[in-house]
Amino acid sequence: MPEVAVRLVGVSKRFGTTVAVDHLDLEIARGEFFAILGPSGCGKTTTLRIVAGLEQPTAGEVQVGGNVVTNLPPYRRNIGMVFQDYALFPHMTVVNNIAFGLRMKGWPASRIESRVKALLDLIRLPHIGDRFPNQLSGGQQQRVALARALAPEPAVLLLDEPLSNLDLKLRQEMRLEIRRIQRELGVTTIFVTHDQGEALSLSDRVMVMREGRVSQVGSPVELYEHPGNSWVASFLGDANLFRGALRSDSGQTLLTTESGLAFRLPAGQHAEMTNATATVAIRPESVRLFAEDADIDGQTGSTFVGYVENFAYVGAGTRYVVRFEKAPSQEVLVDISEPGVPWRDGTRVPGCFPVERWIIRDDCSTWVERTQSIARRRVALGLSPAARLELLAEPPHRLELLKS
Amino acid sequence: MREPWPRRLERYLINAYVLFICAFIMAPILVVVLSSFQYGQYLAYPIERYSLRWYTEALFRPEWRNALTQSLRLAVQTTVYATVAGILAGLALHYHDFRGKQALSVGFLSPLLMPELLTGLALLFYFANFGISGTYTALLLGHVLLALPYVIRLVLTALPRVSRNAEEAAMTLGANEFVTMMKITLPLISPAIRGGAVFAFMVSYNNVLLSLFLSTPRVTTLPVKIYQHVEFVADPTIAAVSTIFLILTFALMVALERTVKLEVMPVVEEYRK
Amino acid sequence: MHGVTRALTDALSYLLFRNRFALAAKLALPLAVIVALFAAPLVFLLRVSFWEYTPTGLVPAFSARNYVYFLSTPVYRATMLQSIELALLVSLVCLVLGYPLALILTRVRMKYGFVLVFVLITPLFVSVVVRTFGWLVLLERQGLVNAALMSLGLIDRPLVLVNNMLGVSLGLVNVALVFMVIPIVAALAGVPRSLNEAAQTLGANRFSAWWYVTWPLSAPGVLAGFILVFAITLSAFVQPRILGGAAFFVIPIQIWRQVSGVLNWPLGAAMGFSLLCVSFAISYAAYSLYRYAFPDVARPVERQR
Repeated sequence: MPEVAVRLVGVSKRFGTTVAVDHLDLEIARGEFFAILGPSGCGKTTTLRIVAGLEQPTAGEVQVGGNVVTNLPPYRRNIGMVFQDYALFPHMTVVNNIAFGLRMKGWPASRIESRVKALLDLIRLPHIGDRFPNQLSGGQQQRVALARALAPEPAVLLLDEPLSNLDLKLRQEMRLEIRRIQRELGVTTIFVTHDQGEALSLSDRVMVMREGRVSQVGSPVELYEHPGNSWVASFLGDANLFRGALRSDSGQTLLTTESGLAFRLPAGQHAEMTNATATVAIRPESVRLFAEDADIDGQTGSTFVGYVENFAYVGAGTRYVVRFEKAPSQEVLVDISEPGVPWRDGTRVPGCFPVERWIIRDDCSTWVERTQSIARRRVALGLSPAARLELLAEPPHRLELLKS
Repeated sequence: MREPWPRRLERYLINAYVLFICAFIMAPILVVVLSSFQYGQYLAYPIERYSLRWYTEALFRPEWRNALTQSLRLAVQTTVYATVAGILAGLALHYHDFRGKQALSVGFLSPLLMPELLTGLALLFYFANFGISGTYTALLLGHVLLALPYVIRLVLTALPRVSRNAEEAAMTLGANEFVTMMKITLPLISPAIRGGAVFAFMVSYNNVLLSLFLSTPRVTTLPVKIYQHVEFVADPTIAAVSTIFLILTFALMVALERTVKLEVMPVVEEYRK
Repeated sequence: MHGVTRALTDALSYLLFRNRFALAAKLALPLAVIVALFAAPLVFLLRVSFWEYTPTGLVPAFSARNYVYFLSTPVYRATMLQSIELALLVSLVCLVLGYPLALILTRVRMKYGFVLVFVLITPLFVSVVVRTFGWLVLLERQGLVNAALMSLGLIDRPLVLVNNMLGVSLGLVNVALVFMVIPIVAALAGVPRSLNEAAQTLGANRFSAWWYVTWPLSAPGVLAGFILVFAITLSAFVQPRILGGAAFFVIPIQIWRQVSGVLNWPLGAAMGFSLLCVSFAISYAAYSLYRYAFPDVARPVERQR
């Protein structure tokens, strides 16, 4: 068991009646690059600010480096933070910005000087020490903010959407830069982002948050290839979701949608769920398309025939929207990485969903569906004791949503 | 290419108007300076002979020198107290949420809305009631009251522009709240603080009416002295004294402009009610 | 930071930020100034205005005699009218002079615009006493204006420019003009130039674009400037006293006479509050007029509140 650098135990944060963070438990190992990923308003920034001490949790405990810091102000926590807008001090030069934390620690001037120099070298901007923040480009400001946060050798580095104010090219460059610096120093890092690409490419582990709760925690590969539910699947990259009834058929599991499509799923753990309703997902790049006259009977998986509804050439490949011939109300996204654009609008294409590429199957995974079903039951039964119990079991903010 | 004539006419009219206004505003100030160089005992025009004799007269008369030093001392002390109190009030109104906050911020600015005549009258009776009328302290307290709202208003307009993130960044870097305030917040609003300090100084240094109510022959200020003299007689001495008074004002402005880059705009904004 | 500094700043952080009374700690000093040096004296002044004045001394009482006396004495009534007349005159002159100036400041690109701004705000930094003295020098019987006009042969005998309404008004306009210009500039700065241009593309000439678009939208500034200048002028003391001479009376001079001469403080206090009431009444009248004249501009302003 590696040493735990940051631990949150049952942390909650309410702002008035809204719950920003809901009973969060979290352990981050020393040296780990940990990303918190989620849509805006999911509580990820609040979580980071609770670790920093900029917010007080309503309930729960925060530990940094084995010490309980729940009630300590930020300046006693030995953390470094990079803000979304960098928050460089506009009235100080780069050197003074970076030296600020060291001065607060009471370092002697000579040590500060050499440390600042070392950091400027680390961020590969040794010549900008005398400039003021408004004389720097966005990328330079970003690096200086990173150096400033790292200068006092914090136990944890907190990054609050640090790349979101940069343009695309710079963002990709800075991703690598941040990863390099983090590896070089081995500092425990918590990185908050809404950009799944950033989270996947940078981190050792990712926590996906939604509505103040953890949706899933895991390595990037786990999350992308084995998402815990359809919401995670569609939040991390694109996913084709299909909803239908499960049926067991001679050792195979089949899902039949209302529109009449049938998909063959991997056998095994799904068998016992016969006749349950489920949502399944498959990535666009997992779906295969064939030439119009190809023989698809030999393919292992669910074959289908569709028409190209639309396509977008993106350079590295082409994205297709294909409408099912059998179920014209449904379509599927397909990414093809062959060069050129093999099919045009209106082309009839055969295709296949390989059995082993289905990434998820969940029954009432997303709470939207769940609350919808609760609401439906409530309408159907009046307020039956069971429905009442279900409703009472819901956290209050979900009840709010139910009411609306 | 030539402008069409209506445009040119308009431009000439505008320029003429602006010149007229400038002359109208500056005339009384310039004429005071001009008159101070007159040789004769009485103000008479055209000036036939120029001299600096009234300056030596003004500078060597202890009553003028005392009034001037008292004015300066009063203005400096007013500036210090009003600025400190104004910053504190600004911070309180900016960082805290409490009931009656809106009313309180109106209350802080209300001395600006009250005619100085009434404030002076009220303070005169009030201080007399406590037996401190006619003292230097009474004068100082009155001036601090008049100067305080200017500082508060400037500080309050500047504080929302300070990035909360910069303050939080300082705290994550190990600065406690007080150090954050001293190293981040206050430096970032320093134009407003300097503007407020200049205003506080000018309000005190130039004040006549309130000082007139609160002064005695011994505890007095230069503007009050000038007023009392002019009420009696207008002569070249008073022109010289006024000019010295003016020069100190402008010297202070120029010094501030040089050393701390005083911006005119916050000062102008100040009056935009 | 060294240990001692750290401990000291930690203590100050606690005092000013981290304890339950942090707000009180910050408010203590400024609130003391406002309450003890402003609210309390005004309340006291109000009480004094109901006291009675006897030749032997002041008697704490609660009687409206001072107000009744003030309002029923013809001399004081005439003085009050003179005060109002003066303040209205000065406010109107300031408006007529100041509005074009504000338009020029916000709408005309001038090479030396900053000079005009500097000149305009100079009076803020020059004592009223000095400027009033300057006017005296200019307008006196043997003053610069009369000397210039005589030497040019335009007049034979000196004009009476001072010790009357004219001189006092000139001195007051000089001081108050900037207080009219600044609110109007602020209002005009909030009116996008594109509105005016839009009006012109819709067929309005420059005057009607101003009359239908710019002028109504600058009206709140005009109102603010008018109220400000009126209040300043109504309670002005130095200019009427120096430029008005011995026979020119306004209420502030009467108050001064009561307070410094006869020591009838209750009457002085009553006059002061009466003056304040007049100031409020005229301000309210101006506001009503504004709402009547610009109902469409006035209403959204109210909705914001």
